[in-house]
Amino acid sequence: VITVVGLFVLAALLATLSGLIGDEVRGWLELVPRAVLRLVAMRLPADQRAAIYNEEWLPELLTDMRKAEGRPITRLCFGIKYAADMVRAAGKVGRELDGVRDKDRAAGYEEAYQDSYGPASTTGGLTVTDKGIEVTSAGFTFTGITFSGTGHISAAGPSGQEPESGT
Amino acid sequence: MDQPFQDLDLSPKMADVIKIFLEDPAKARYGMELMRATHQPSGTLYPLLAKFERNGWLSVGKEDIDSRAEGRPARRFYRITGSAIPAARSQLAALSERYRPPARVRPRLRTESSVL
Repeated sequence: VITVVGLFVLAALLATLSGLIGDEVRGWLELVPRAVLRLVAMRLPADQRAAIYNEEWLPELLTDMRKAEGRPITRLCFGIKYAADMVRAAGKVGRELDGVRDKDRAAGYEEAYQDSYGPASTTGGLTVTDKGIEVTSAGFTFTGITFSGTGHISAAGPSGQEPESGT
Repeated sequence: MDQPFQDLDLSPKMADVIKIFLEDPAKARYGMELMRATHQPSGTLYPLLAKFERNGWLSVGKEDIDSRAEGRPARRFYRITGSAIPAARSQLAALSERYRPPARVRPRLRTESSVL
């Protein structure tokens, strides 16, 4: 009886363990294509990495990998192929989009700014630049926000003399 | 923001891509979808898309989804620009003409008098 119970417990343990190991491996397999793609993205010019890798390549990879849910090997193969093919594309894409996506971002800032506050000319203390919004006048108050310093505000956060919002 | 339109000489691979956009010019297309439709790997397709974007043939936008609800980030999509549509049509027609096989030549039968 003890042997039978022991074998049963051992079988249950092995089944649980193999399930856990399977989950662990699946989790790692998921990360491999992302890691490869991230490495490939290092070949992109630094100023374009976010626009191309974060906003285009990675979302495409993740979206398509989701479609193959439940098929980890298919996902792995597909993901690695997608990422590896990008090795030869990275340089060309970087050259082609040099300055193009940056302009898009500047236009995006300008659009968002104008949607919120109207044309840039109405605000003396803020200037929209190709890298975000520049606070050019310390103590400048606009729509209830007082900028105590000057500096640059971008999607990544403020820099320079950090402008602070006041009353 | 659309780039200013500049004419391009379409290669056959570029033609494969732009043809998909012409099928429904208003439709947004995604990278993976284009890879499947054109049978081009990512390493070939993305530089072409970048070239089209740079030259004002394609405009880009961001998918309108709730990333948290969907559990994935929004993708970028491409759409053909208004200026590119006539240019693409005429270039595809020119390419089609260029690669059109010659008219079939019917074998000539020699007349009896020409046989020695």
